Amino acid sequence: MRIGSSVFLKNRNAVQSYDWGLYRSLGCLGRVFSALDEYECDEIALIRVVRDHDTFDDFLDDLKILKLSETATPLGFGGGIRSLRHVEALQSFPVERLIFSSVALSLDQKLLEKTAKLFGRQAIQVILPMCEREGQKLIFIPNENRFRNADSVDHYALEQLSNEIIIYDISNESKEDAFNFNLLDNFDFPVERLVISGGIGKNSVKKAAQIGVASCLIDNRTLHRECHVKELKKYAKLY
Amino acid sequence: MQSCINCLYTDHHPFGLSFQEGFCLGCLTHQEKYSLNWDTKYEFLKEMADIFKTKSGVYDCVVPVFGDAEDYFTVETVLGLGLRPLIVSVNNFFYNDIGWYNLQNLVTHFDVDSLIYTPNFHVYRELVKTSLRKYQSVYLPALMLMSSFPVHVAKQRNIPVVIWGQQQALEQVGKFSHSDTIMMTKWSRKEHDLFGVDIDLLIGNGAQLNPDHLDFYHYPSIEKLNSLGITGIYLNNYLPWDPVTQNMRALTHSFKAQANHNTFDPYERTGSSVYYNIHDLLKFKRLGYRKVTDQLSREIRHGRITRSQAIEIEKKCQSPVYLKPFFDWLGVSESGYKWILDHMFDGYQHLITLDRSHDNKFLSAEIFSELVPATPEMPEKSFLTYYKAI
Repeated sequence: MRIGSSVFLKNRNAVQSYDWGLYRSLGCLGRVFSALDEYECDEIALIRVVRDHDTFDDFLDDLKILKLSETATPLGFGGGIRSLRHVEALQSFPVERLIFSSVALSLDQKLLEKTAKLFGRQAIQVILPMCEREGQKLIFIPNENRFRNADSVDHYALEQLSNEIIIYDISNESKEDAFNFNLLDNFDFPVERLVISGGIGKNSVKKAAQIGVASCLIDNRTLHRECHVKELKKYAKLY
Repeated sequence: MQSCINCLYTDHHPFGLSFQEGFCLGCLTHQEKYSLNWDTKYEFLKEMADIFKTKSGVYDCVVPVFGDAEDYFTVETVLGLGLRPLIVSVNNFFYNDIGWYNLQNLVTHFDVDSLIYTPNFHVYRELVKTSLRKYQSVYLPALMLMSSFPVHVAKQRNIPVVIWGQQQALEQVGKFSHSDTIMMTKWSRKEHDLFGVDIDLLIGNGAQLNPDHLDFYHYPSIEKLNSLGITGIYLNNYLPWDPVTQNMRALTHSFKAQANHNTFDPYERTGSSVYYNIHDLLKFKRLGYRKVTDQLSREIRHGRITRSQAIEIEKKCQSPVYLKPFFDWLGVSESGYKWILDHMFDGYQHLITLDRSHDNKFLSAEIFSELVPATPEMPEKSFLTYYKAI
């Protein structure tokens, strides 16, 4: 199991997300990457916060920031990848994984197939921002800026189109060790291809290792203390 | 440029400022002080203190200090937790007589052991020159040492924790929630204490310095700290931080408040020959605001002044500063001094005085008396390499 970190990018700065709508600046993305490299993160998922207000120029501006921010850690990049133009723009970047959300949820098969041709199917991740409210599991659709019932998602299609799915618990992001494992119940997708994020801590890492998920991505808390990643690896007996 | 509708901050803040519905995150995070259960947090701090005691030898913790009022509160709190601190300070060569007095009084009043590190003067001064030239900052080398040397001491003596007062990025711009309980990290040091410039970036290819003299300007190895189990905490994660109220307590410990140029606050960063002088002017040049704006924003949040009162005070705290003593200390010639005034401070001459006596025209006392009851003193000597003040 990998242990990495999720980082958000907003207005050309690294930010932390709280309560799925409040953003605290982290500052320079390059310095965040340097710290995560030093903490021996296995991967970084860099997600642009764009929702329903994004332009291709904004996308290119964010790529300029990415260009200035070197990292030795395997990088996933997502947020607002909604056309072939976006995918092609990423070709000159050392991005190992492309993270889709809106496109995947609308099952844009053509785009995902073309992406697979350019980057390989192993490079396609889908992020599902999820929460549980009044017993119902909901998924956030970024380009529509609204929630949808999780049952309406075609799991089989997602399995065919992507290599891994990131379940991001938006109710527990920024919280210590609070990831809601109920979100994985009835999720018809191979567990070894699931990545979890949002409220990852000691116990959630341990449980994730037991059930065999592919990776845990710590959110804001990676940078709140030194060597959080190593501590979690030790705790989950990953080395 | 976006401004907060409550305090005086704009998005030009060097820590980065986010907004929500017109309020900056600093103001929104400040509201946590009225909703969190601080008793529980303090209990947690006490539990941690008990753990530190079991891990330690002669000293339970390192407490880094400058000698200003906040340090008095920090040391008092640490002693209240039953910890045996080693007080660690760095001689930044900028202390005035009040600064040395406050530092030595802190150690003797609380009867604690101390370690004051004096770096190689020539290396330090060269770094100040380089820092001024490249980053328009005279304080960067001091901040580098102050944010790393205490950690080196903890590592060398195997002291389990470094206890700091406030995490500035949390207090000023709400970069974190109090619930995050952020701890000391190398990343935070570089991002917030050093504004992204570490010693390697500072020296670059400009300063002609022997790297062997720079050990304490570097942060210790994370791996080593981790293997020794050395950590660092900030007290403002466990106490509802209110600097003025806390700092006034220092007066009962014979702390000397200092009347300063361009601020109403006689407690914060007292004892420095440069802080409210060239440092403040360079901050204004770089960022468009001076230290007093930080302090006024803080006072608005605590409800002690209104935003309009703060704007009036801010206007009053823009008096010119006398820079000659600093450039004499830096070893700059008369012609060099004139060149710097003409070129480096082009457009800011109205904030510089060539009149030595202007140094004594303090505005702070009249503004200050309405806000904080104390009689601040004026320094008599500045740029003291060492001074036996007690």
